[in-house]
Amino acid sequence: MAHLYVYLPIAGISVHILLLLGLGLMVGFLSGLFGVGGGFLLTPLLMMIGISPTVAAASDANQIVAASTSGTYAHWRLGNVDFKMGILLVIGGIIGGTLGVQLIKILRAVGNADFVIKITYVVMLGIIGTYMFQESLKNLQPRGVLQARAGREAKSWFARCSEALPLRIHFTKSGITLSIFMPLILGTMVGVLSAIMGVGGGFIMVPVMVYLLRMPMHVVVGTSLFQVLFTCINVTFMQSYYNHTVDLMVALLLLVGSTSGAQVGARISNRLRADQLKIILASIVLLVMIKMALGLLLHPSMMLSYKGGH
Amino acid sequence: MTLRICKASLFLGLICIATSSYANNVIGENPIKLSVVPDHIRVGTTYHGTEVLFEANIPRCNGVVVKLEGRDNEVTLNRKGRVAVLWLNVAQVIVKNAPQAYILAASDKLANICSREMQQRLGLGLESLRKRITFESEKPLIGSEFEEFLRLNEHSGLYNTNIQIELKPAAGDREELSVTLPIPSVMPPGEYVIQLYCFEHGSLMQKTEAQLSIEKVGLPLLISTLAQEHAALYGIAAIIIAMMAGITMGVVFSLRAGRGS
Repeated sequence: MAHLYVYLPIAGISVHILLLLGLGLMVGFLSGLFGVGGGFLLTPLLMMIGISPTVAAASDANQIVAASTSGTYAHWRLGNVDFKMGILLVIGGIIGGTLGVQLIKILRAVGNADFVIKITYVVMLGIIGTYMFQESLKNLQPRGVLQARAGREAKSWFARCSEALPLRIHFTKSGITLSIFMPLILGTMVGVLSAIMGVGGGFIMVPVMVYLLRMPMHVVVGTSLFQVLFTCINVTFMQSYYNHTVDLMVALLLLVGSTSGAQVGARISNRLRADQLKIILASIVLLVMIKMALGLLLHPSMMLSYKGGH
Repeated sequence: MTLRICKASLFLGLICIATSSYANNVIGENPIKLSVVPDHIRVGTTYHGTEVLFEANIPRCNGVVVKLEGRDNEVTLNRKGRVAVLWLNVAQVIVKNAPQAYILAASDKLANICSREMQQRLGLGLESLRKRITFESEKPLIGSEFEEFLRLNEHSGLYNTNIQIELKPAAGDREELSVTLPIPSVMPPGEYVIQLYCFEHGSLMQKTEAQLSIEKVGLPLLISTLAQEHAALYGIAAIIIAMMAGITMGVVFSLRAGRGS
C-alpha cells in the first residue's frame, strides 16, 4: 500500500491517494447536488488530515474551479443556468469580495478578525440552516394548510423594497422580473461574507437565490455553480500569486473525485424534489454549524497552532 | 592600522576553524566507523516519510546518544485563549531558535548517561531545548508555550526523544550500535546533522557526526519551483488544468448519458 501514498509538495506532507480521491468525490457530489462549492466542508476536512489551513483553503479553491466547471457544464446541458442572473451576481460578488478583503484588513489591525470570522461563520450557518430546514418542513405540510396561510400573509417589506427598485428586467430562465440592482446588491453582500469567511459563498448564495430572489431551485443550483466558478478562479490566482499556497497535487487528486461526483450530483439533483434538496442541504449546514460551535466552546486539544487558519 | 586588523582577524579565524574541526572530530583514541543509510533522501511523488538506519562500530562505553537535528528556525504560531465563553486565537507567538527537527536516541535515560550541565552544553534532551527555544508575543506569555510547542511537534513527528539504541558486543572491546531514526514526511527538505556521543562515567569520550540531506525531486520539485518562482504562470496553469478537467469530465459523462438513453 506504500505506493498509494502521494507527497504534496506545497503542503509538505504525504497522504493516502484514496483519502483525497474520496474527499473529492464526496464534495463534488454535494456540489452538483446543491450548487455549493463545498469549501465550507472540505477545507476543515483537509486541515484534519494535516494540511496547513492556508494551503487547504487555497488548494480547495483550485479544485472547486474544476468541480464547479464540471457542475456548471452539466447544469447548462440540462438548461439550469441563468447566465444573465449569474453575471450580475458575479459582478456583485467581485465588488463585495474586494470590500470584504479591506474589512478583514481593518479587523486584523484592530485585533478582532478571528472573533468576527468565527462568529460570522456560526451565525450565518445557523440562520441559513434553520431557515431552510423550517421552510422545507413547512412545505411538506398538506397543500390546503399552506394555501390558507399564504392568503393570510401580507407582502413582506423585502418584497415591497424589491418592487420599488428601478431598472426592472425579465430573467427568462428563472421566470422572474427584478431590478438589476437586486442581484447586484445581494451579490455584493454575499461577496463581503465570503471574503470574511474565506469560502466561495455557494452555501450563502443558494438560500439568497431561493428565498430572496425567488428563483426556481433547479436553476438556482446551476446558476450558483456558475457564480462560484468565477469566485474560485479569482481566489486560486490570488493565492498562487501572493501566498504561493496552491498545492496542485492536492487540487488534482481532489478534482479527479470532485468532477465525477459533481456529474452524479447534478443528475440526482434533477430527479429530487426541491424541498428534499433543501432539507438535506439544511441538515449539512446545521451539522457544520454545530461542529464549529463546539470547536469554539470546548477546550482545544492544542493551544498553539500554525498561523493562517481560522 | 587596517592591515594589522586584517591580519589579527585572519589569525583569529584560523584559530576558530582549527578549534571547531577538532571539536567535530573524534575526541578519543579509537576512531568510530559509522554508516547512515540512506544519507540522501529523495522526496518524489510517492514519498511518505522513511527511516534512516544509523550504525556505528564504537569503543565500549556506558552511555551512547544519537541526535538528529535540523537548522534553527523562526516560526509564528497562533495561541488560543478564552474570550467570554469562546476559545479563539488571541495572540501570535514567535518561536525562535527552534530546530526544524529534533530526534534523539539514547542507550539509557539521559540522566543516567551524563550530567545536566553536559546535556545543556551538548544540546541533548528536552531541558536543553527548553533553555534554547525562546518565545515572544505582543501579549503576555502564559508559561506553557514550550510544552504546547513540544506537543505540536511531537504530534507531527518532527520532535521525537523516545528512541532506544541497541548495542551489541563486537570484537576488540568494541560495540555495534544500531538505531533506526524515523523521518516523517513533514520533515522539510534541507541539510540535517546526525551526531553520535559516547560517554564513560558521565564524561564525553567520543563524538562524531554525519550528514543527512533531504531533497525534492521529480514532480514535487517541479511544482514547488513553479509555485515559488513563476507564481503567476503557476496560478493560471492551475486554473486552466482545473477547468479542462471539469469540462472533460462533463463531456465524458454527457456522452455516457447520451449512450445510456
